[in-house]
Amino acid sequence: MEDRQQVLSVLLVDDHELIRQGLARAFERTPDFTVAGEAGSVADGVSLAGQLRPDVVVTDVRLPDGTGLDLVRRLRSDKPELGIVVLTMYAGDEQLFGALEAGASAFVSKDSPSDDVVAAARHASVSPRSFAAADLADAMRRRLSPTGPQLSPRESEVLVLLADGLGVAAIARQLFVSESTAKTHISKIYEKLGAANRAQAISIAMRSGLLRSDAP
Amino acid sequence: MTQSDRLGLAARAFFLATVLGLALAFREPAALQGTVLVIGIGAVAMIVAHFSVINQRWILLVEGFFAALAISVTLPGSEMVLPYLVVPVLLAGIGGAVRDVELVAGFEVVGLAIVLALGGGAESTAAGLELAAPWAVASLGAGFVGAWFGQLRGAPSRVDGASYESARRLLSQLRTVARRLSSGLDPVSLAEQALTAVHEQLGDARSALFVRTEGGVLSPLGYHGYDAKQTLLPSGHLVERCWSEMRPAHGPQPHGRAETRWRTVLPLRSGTRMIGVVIADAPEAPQPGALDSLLRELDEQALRLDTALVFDEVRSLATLEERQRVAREIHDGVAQEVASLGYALDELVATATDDKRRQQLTDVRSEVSRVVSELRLSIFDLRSEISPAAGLGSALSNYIRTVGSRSGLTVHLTLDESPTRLRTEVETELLRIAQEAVTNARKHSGAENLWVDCRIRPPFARITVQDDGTGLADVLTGPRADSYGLHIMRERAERINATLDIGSRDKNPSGRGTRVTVTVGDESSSLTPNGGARV
Repeated sequence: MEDRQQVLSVLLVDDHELIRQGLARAFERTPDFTVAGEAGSVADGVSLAGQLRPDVVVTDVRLPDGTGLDLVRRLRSDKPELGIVVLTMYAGDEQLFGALEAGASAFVSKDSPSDDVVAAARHASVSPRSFAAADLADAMRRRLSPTGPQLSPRESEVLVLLADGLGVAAIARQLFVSESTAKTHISKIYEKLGAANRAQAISIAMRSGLLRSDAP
Repeated sequence: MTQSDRLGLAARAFFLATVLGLALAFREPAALQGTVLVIGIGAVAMIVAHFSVINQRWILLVEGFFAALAISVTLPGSEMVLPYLVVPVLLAGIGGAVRDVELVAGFEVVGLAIVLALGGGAESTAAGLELAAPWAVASLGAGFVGAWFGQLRGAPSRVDGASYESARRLLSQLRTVARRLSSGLDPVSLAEQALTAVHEQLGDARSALFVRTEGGVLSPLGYHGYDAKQTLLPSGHLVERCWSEMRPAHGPQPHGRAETRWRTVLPLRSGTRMIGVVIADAPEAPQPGALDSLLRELDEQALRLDTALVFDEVRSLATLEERQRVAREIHDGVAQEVASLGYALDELVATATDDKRRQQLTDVRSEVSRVVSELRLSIFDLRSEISPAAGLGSALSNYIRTVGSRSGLTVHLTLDESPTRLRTEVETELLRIAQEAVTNARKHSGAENLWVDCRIRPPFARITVQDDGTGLADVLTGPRADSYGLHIMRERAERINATLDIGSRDKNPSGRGTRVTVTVGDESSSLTPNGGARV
């Protein structure tokens, strides 16, 4: 009886019954979990979560009446301590970041074994406000690396000075290089950005995020 | 109330109002009697027509017959009611065939004849005939006019049939064109033609043609002349003026060299819409005459170009739709079933008592996981598209990085993308070709590294996908050559007039690794002014 406090209840939300069954078995064979209920839609998920007050909700992304991320947002808005695991068949990063932004505690893909889902649920119950995903680091790297034209560090410096309205001579003085070197940097920038003149280079750089409008 | 009900009511009411007015004006009892009888008959006919399914023809027949009886009985006092005989015949005419007109008019004559022959009327037969005959003939005439009118009204339905027929013919022509793909409806060669016309009219000019793509970006379709790509950009006040006024705009270039002193921006109009502009720099201002004839020619070219662009867009939308549908089908169907099979295997692994058994089940489980991963990537493949805001480069790098890290390939990506965009349809086909090449490298070659080089300088673009796998030497000649999507890649390349080159990464044809290069447009037009000799 002393273990009773330890048993965590989980609500499974997925519109595929076989998936729910498989997950339910996985949770039931784990001593510290019990399946409180199952739902096949966002609406049922919200109402069952209210009635059953589970410790963890495991939800699919694609549901018949909306997305699992809608469900996450709605649950998270009034249950800050609820563990939420997002389960998906999709392979794109947007679902992972969508889950992160919606307030999920963990993200698992459907090619992972059911034990991974149980482990994620356990993590979610312990630390609902953190975020765990198997390839989070990869996804972050993909997100952070720029995809547009890429300037070298030196060229970026020159670009900022160009945006400040400095002439070639002034840029050369500022960077302690010869004027011809400064010119080379500038023409390289124009070429990379596909610009014909300074104004165009600056506007393209702004648009592609190479130059922030608040840059000094 | 149906349309024929309304028509019946209108015709009867009009004639009855006329005869009633006359009857009242002449204060003739016989005429009033006749009118009342006819009103009764007309009302019964309308009620029957509205509430029963009896054919209109028989109702009119009986109506005509009884109206003829009623009128002829009250002749000659009811002379002014005779025009009512026109009504049933006219309605029969409007409602259908000439045969009905003859039939109804015939029955009226019979009705008149019976009464007159029996001498039931107050007047002699001869006098009665004299009164009634003109109206019998008049009603027959009205009936024929009605029948003619009815056929005219019916005519649009036959015209509809003809227009469906011609639409079908057009669509099957379109299908033929679509099969042969780019021939005749290829935007790039149409743009080339338009620029040649510009060249002829404006003299030695450098020119560029831009079309509006999704999201309002002006995308280049073609360049003509030295250094055109670097200097002719789809912006500036001349372009804005031309776009808003839909008329040519031209003016001197403040910093232009002698041979490019004067810039002319010409509208590409399709009906009342702007679809793009042609920008041309020439030594001097264009002659008004040359401008007018050029504009006429461009209007014609623009129409063709617009059609070609719309056609491309329709095809691309249809494909996109279909891909999304297939992705949904895999996602909701087989992928979930295989995933649940995996969970069932997890259960078996967890409950297995025998170690050897457990190992076997674990092996099967990892195989199932691999299949699910493969399905996830297929869904990802089908769903990846190019966002109107970001363009091909970012879609390609997103795709390659995701697939690379999901399949354990080390990806080396170089991306050189100019801010001008390719047309949406070209971007899409290039992405699909690259996807196919990456999928081949991933699935069939056992490669560890993937090199993707992407250079986009619209309208030129080149994507090279290389791997260090087993190579395609046996694949290209092998029996399963088609299963590698090579055929589809070629078809896609043809659709956008691109060249596809597939070979070994080494010069040696039997060497390791595969190289797939797809090139669209002419690279020479993308050379920098110094021939690329910049440091």
